[in-house]
Amino acid sequence: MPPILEVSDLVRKYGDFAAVDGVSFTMQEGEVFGLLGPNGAGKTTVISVLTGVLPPTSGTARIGGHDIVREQAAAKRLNGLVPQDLALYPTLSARDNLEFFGRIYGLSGAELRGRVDAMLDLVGLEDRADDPIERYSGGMKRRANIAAGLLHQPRLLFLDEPTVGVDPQSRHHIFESVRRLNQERGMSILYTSHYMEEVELLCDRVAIMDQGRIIAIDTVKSLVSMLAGVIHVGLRKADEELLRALAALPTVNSAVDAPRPLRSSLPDDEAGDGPVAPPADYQMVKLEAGDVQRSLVDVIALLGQKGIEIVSLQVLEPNLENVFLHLTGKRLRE
Amino acid sequence: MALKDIKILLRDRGSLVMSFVVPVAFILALSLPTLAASSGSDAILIPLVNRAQGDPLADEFIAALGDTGGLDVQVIEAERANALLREGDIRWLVELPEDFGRMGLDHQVTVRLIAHPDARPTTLESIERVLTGVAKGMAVNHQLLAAFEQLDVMMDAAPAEYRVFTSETYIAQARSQMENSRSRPLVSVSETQALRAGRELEFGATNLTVPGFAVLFVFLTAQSTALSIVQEKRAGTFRRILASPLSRSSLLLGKLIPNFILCLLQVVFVFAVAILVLPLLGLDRLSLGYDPFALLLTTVLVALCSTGLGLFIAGIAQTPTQAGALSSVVLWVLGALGGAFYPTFLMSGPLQTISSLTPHAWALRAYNTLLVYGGGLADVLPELAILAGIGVAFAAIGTWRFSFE
Ligand SMILES: Nc1ncnc2c1ncn2[C@@H]1O[C@H](COP(=O)(O)OP(=O)(O)OP(=O)(O)O)[C@@H](O)[C@H]1O
Ligand SMILES: [Mg+2]
Repeated sequence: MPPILEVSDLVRKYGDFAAVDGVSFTMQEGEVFGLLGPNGAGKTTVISVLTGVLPPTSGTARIGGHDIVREQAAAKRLNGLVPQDLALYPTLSARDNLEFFGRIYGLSGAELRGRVDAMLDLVGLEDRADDPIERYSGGMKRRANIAAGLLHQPRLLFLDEPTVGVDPQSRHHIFESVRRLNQERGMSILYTSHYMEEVELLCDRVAIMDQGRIIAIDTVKSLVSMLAGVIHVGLRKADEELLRALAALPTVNSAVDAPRPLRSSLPDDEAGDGPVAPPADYQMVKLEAGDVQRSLVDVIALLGQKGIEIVSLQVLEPNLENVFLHLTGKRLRE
Repeated sequence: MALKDIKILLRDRGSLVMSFVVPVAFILALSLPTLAASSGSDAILIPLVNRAQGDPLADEFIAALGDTGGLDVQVIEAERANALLREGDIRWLVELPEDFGRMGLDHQVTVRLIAHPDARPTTLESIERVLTGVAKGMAVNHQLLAAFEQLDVMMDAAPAEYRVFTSETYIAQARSQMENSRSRPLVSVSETQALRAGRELEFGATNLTVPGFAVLFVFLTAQSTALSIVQEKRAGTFRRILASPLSRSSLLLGKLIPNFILCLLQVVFVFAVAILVLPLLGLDRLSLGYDPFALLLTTVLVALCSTGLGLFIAGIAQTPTQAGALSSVVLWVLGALGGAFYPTFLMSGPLQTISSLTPHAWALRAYNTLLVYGGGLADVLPELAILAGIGVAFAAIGTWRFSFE
């Protein structure tokens, strides 16, 4: 099967500024692909070009084999857009909005009504379908926003930060919808976000974007494996010999003496389960490991063998956030 | 596209009020004072062409006409006057001949009253009576003077011993002149018909004011046309529409159709109020003329022209605020220049030229021809062609300037 999306050296400039600066990637049919990047990375601009909202400055892209410029109408029929900003008429009801957006894709009559009902059901808005959008909560608006991009049953869906400003309940609902669309209908989904947890959870592969360029592209697993995990163990007693023995374990890359970590020096989401009131007379050892889980088993076994008491244990698993930090020296969210 | 915009419009009470209630309020506010005034003494407007410019006698005649109280004399240029008369923008015209100042015993002059076929005969008759009266009064004065001058000449020519004229001689002379003026007036008033086929139509002030406001407000709707385009462009929904296979021209067309329909409905509404409600208030009832098809066509073209103007504004303005400001200024100024408040035929020459650049002026000329002078389609074809031209030009520039990004 040909790839659903092939992007090749895409450039989009605003004046002299290249918001998208030579982006290439490929998406297979049925894939959920994440585009991860900080504010202003160029995610929305990539989507605008791919959906035909903006013409590319240079480069090409094909959707289902159709060139987005030369075969624009055919390419447009295959994709659906859920814009980052709410794109609904606030004074009209969800049903009226959906009917309108269905109609601009040429749907009408019973087919249109059927699809509108199905989409309202998918995003869980059947009950409030006839209320004006402006009376919806933020999360309900987001859900209606998603439904409006799905009426024509696109094969490729562009979801541009669908969970921004959404309560946990609606967020969960949106994740569920994305999963169902992908699994039950085989829809390919390009999902942008700057929440790495979402991308880790939903996406098969991820492209990390910064300043208009893709700086890394792979499965979440491979990206994360670029980085070593870190284990901090607090021990009653740790001498040079013990450090050497730990470093010699096949699953451990290195073992060094470490200053006692100050909890506040760690970012919240990296802190994990910190040491609980460690006694004053202990020593901190920092271990680096490719596969944290396996090395943890080995480390605990070794320490048990030697009869050394573990005072505290802290595990820092690598994640996309760290990968991004590692690649760019910046955090995803400031 | 269109259906959705109509739904949005219906949800927006404020703009509905603006589109329909305000025009009617305007008409009522501005018609009621005329009603009060017309029940009192209402001067008849007399456009006058003075071919004897600079002649003191002519000036005297004009002043005397004004002094009668019933007439409001407006001196205008000959060419313009004839054009206005031909178009039916004025219904009569008084013309003083070039030789007006040379009126004398041996020179009879003719003041012409040129009437449009649609002029009310009763009004014409009273104008003619006033003209004749004033002319006679002036002629008598003038003849007496002329006669005395004659006597002086005779005296100068006579030998000194004969230069004795008694009061009897003067009186006799004056009497004979009076007789003379009666049998052979120095100034005669002739009435001619301007060349134009037409029918007499009963109408009141309503037929002049209502189309003016209908036109003003239909063109004001160009603002909501422009705003609906610019606002949609700023709203996220525009991206969604651009991402759909809908072509850009159908996108624009979809935005324009509802506003076009709104314009048509405005005219229908305003006319309906003028027909059904104004009579209840003791005002004149609007008469729709004789050619409903021409009236419909005019209305359609006026609506098209307004829609084109809206697209033009949308093409130029970048933000809704700009569109709002630009359209308020442009539309009210055009409306005022175009004669929505004040008839163009009363404007000065240069102002009138500027006025004829506004679509409003052409729209009003067409409505006046149809509703005031009872003209038909053939009579308004030039105006309609110009309206269509202006509308297409606006739309073309707007589309050309419009950026989808
Ligand atoms: N219309 C425009 N004119 C000029 N510059 C623009 C325009 N739209 C976007 N940009 C710039 O292009 C860059 C990329 O913007 P884009 O919206 O694609 O980023 P993003 O990755 O979607 O960011 P976010 O996460 O905040 O949505 C930014 O620097 C932005 O300022
Ligand atoms: Mg964005």
